[in-house]
Amino acid sequence: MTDSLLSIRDLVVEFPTPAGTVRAVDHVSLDLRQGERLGIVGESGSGKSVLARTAMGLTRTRAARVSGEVVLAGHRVLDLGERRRRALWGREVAMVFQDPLSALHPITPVGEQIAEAVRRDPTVSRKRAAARAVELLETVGIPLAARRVHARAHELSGGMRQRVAIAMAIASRPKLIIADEPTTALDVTVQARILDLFDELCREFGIGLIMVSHDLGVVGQHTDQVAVMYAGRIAERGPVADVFTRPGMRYTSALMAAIPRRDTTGQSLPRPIPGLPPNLLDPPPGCRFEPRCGYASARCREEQPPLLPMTGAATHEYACWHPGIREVVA
Amino acid sequence: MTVATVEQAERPAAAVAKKARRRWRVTDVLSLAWLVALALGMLLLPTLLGLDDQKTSAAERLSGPTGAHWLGTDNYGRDLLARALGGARISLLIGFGSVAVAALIGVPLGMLAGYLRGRLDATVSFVVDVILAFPGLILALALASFLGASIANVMIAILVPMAPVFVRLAKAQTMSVAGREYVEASQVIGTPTRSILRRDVLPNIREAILAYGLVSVGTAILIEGGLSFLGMGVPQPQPTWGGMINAGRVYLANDPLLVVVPAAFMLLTILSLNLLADRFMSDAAAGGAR
Amino acid sequence: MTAPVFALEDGSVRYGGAEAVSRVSIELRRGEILGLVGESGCGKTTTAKAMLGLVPLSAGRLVLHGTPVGVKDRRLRASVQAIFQNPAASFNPKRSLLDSVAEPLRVHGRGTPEERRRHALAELDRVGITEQMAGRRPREVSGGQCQRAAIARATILRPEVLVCDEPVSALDVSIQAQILELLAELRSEQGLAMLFISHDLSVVASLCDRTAVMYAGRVVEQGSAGAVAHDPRHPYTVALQDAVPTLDTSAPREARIRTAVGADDVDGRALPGCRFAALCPSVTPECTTSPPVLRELAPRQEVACLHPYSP
Repeated sequence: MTDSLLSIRDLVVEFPTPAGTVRAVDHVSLDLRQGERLGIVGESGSGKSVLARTAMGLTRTRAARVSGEVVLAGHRVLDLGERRRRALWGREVAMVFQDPLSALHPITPVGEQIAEAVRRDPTVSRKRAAARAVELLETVGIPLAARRVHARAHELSGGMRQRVAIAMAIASRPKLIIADEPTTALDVTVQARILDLFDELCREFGIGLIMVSHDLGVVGQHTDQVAVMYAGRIAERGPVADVFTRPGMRYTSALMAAIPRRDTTGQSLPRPIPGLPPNLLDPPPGCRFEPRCGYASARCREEQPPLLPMTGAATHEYACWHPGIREVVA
Repeated sequence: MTVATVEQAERPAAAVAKKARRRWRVTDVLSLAWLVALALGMLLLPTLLGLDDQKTSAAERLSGPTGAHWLGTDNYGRDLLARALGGARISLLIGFGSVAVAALIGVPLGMLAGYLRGRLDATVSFVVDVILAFPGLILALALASFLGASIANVMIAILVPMAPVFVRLAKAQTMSVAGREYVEASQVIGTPTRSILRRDVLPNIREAILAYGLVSVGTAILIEGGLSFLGMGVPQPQPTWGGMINAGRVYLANDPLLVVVPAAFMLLTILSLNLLADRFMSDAAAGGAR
Repeated sequence: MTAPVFALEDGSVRYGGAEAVSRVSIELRRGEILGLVGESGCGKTTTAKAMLGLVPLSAGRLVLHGTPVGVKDRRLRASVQAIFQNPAASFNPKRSLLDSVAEPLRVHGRGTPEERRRHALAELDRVGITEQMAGRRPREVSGGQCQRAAIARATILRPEVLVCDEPVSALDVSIQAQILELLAELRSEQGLAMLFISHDLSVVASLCDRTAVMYAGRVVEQGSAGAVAHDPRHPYTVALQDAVPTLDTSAPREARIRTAVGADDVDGRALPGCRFAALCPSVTPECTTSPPVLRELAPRQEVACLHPYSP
């Protein structure tokens, strides 16, 4: 067996609504190997959160129509029933959410909640689990862990709560952590420490990471690979430095230009992308970015460009008929 | 053009609920139908059918449903349908009347207390707390017996314990709205307080108040029924549902219609009001954007 | 240096027992955007509310064109307007955008209803909202369109000062840029004096002319936007700037200062001296005794620190 941690093939996730069918994820395929860190970026409506949750097996089959294949650490997630999926959570894969307050029980002391996560492995005794909880709090950098173990969620600050949530996530040594906007609700200095923590954990324990974020800076500095999503499709993907310095797809370059930068001296306002976010009802046949793209042609309207690798950089793929760099599209 | 987002789609329950909100459910239709039928009935049927709720007739007493008397007659030979409709007039008048006055007094007070806070709030809340310390029904009974039996007095007896609840409701709703950004925005523009209350607060607390109002009408009718049953409501010879039930008690074994008819009218009316109130409640809970 | 159009002089605001804002001075000049940055709880939003007259000052005063103004003063309302963080929430959900945009005209008694309607439509058109969209309710349009309408409502009275409280934080990146462009236009076309509050340092660096940094209710550093972004002097500002993830993947990633874990647990307001003392790497005993005052380190660059950072 290869060291493939996550393999997604042709995933489609649709939600029936009174107004029509919303296609949140539109034929997405991706791979993640052991210990790799992948960032999934996009704006709201890009489908990045739905993709992450579906990969986890969180999307309820009653609410959505899902097709395609998701293989997580050897398990075919989409074929599993509710109980078998639950068994995966915390063991093979763990998730860290944007709002730690809603992920934590408001009354149970945090130490107990972590101990519970540890005891998903039934061979661990209660005493051992409690000790492990303290160890985990120390691992995630919470000072005075032995005392903090008795605290309740609301007694902790936002950053602390997120550390507790991370401690719970790594409690049963998962192979993969999926973090959905884990620092968006936190102050920037707190965010920096939490992201440092993710870096440390991935390095030390070889945990794979999928970081979903709208913040390209976060992804740029704390992941190795990135996938840029737009309207449910992957617009571009590859090594993060490559994608950000030489974007192929026009949405990627437009997005980079629209981000306010501190790097440039003097004042240069970010360049807006005209138009509105894409409507996910009735997807058109062609490229989803076409209505807002300054380089679009008739072909873009009629035919969806496939994800193709850049010449000379096989791992960097983009989907565009008129890319921003001088490339020969095969 | 509405932009369909993934966030909206991910909550199909909410989306479905939204659709249900826009469509009238069966219960809504039936409830409304009953109330409309009742209102029309009490206005038109007596003239159309030549009904007279006062006309006694020894010969026709305690008859079951007949051609002349669709629901039968009572122990004095009076037509039950006519009396039930007469009772409806009283009940609906007192029900809507007392609630309307209670709301007209309570809602503005509650809004002012909730928006301005401070001493006004402290005073109003104190008075409200004192009145609400008495069980509503007991207070209504006490007032009714003290004031004497008449339509106006029954209405007063009902609205005194009811107005403070409107104050509390309006205050709570106002407080939750007053903190919102659009109220702040109006303050920044320089909108005077009375305008803010009228345009920004009231329209956004409307649904909750209306919902509670409808339920209150049901409660008022119930209290009126209770007072009439005990003989402290509107005096005879006015027919009242409660009075009819009280009078018909002794005949329950052999001529149940004397009790069943007024009781059924009362039940259907209060039930309809409550079901309609439910609909407004869910509108209010959803933010009342419709 | 011109006189400020609108200023908060030595303002303090108390919430319950604590001082949310302590002796803060903000000066807004014509055609200049001042960015006010800081993390949650630093008091930036409270400062904005105080300048809008929404919360009372426990000390200090507001000065408009050189004369002090009270909170209830009508002149304040006509000259100082605001846009808020959550665009849809800043509008009455039951009224159309057009109605809400025309409201300031109605409140200040300008024109007939028909004139007001036309004026509002014209103002909305200037920010890119069509007549058809104007008739909609806030829930029926996108966040970006709502924020444009909010800008129209705020500028319709031609105020001199615009306070923007995190106006783009709730918007997507591609839409953010549209709004920032609009705000920059207002600065140059109408010569507005603007206060731009944000937790996002990159946005402030690209839009604002000057920046003030707040921590635990005090202004710790103030200077040109470029200086605060690239040459910060207060240790907190350094930590703040270092914490922002940069897209420049080639630059060396060495943080000069990191705040300790649990930084958001510490209540700086409880400290007698410098409020950053508990987390500052350069702290000395003197820092804990009395609060440092803003001193000018360079022309128009002030720092409140006994040991300012030097590169």
